[in-house]
Amino acid sequence: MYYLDSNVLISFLFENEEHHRVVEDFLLKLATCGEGPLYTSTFSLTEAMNALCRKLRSGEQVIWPLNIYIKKLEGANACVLITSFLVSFIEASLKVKIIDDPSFYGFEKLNSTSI
Amino acid sequence: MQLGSILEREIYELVGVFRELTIVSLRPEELIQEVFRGVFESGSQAFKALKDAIQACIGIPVDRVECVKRPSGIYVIATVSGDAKTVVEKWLSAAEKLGRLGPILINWSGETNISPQEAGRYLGEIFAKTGMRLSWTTSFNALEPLRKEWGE
Repeated sequence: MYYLDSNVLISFLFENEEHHRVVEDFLLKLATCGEGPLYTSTFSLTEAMNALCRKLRSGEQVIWPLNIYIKKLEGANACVLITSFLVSFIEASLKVKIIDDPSFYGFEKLNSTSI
Repeated sequence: MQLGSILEREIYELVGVFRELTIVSLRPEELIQEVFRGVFESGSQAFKALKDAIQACIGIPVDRVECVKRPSGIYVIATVSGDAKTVVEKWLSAAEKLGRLGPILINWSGETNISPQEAGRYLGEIFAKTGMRLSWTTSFNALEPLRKEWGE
């Protein structure tokens, strides 16, 4: 079993990330070599998307070529679009299975008391 | 860089890329050979050929074609007639064929009747099929934005 962490997801997604070529070659081989599915989780996806959206909101950078469609979908939440893009992209290109942990969306128990 | 200011040299590079492609499956072989056999005399001829090839792939009228130069290469942006939903569905169906032509982006001239979530889902699948990737304005290391997130 191979688990894709947030930095690997970001690297795979962006062609001008420093390690993109190595990461892409490795993941595409891994996805087709028959050694079982690749996994990621809502934790890693959230971490990756928070980091990217923070960068996006700072206005210092644009994500080419999604900026064309963000502009077209006037008033749209760019982070919704890119999150949806990432999930669809890794599922289609790497057949990644996403582990969704429901506790992620709930409050944790502290000293046996629900908060 | 917009279409109007694209250098002639770049047009020839673009044509060179198209010559190397196995696009015979998109249109009748003789037509493709005819289009790409000679050197285009002007940018407008090259773009006309591009427009025809894209239209043949996607199956809906192409209003205009532009080229945008990025650090990673030249992208073609084709604006086609139709609403967003129809266009992205057609684009997805033709993604593998269009991917063989090079980095081609499709835009729509009709109504934007699609949510950001739906658009992201379609685009993600299209990019996976065409081999296109995203890029920031400048190159970066994936750990940089994550370290900011971790407060380092």
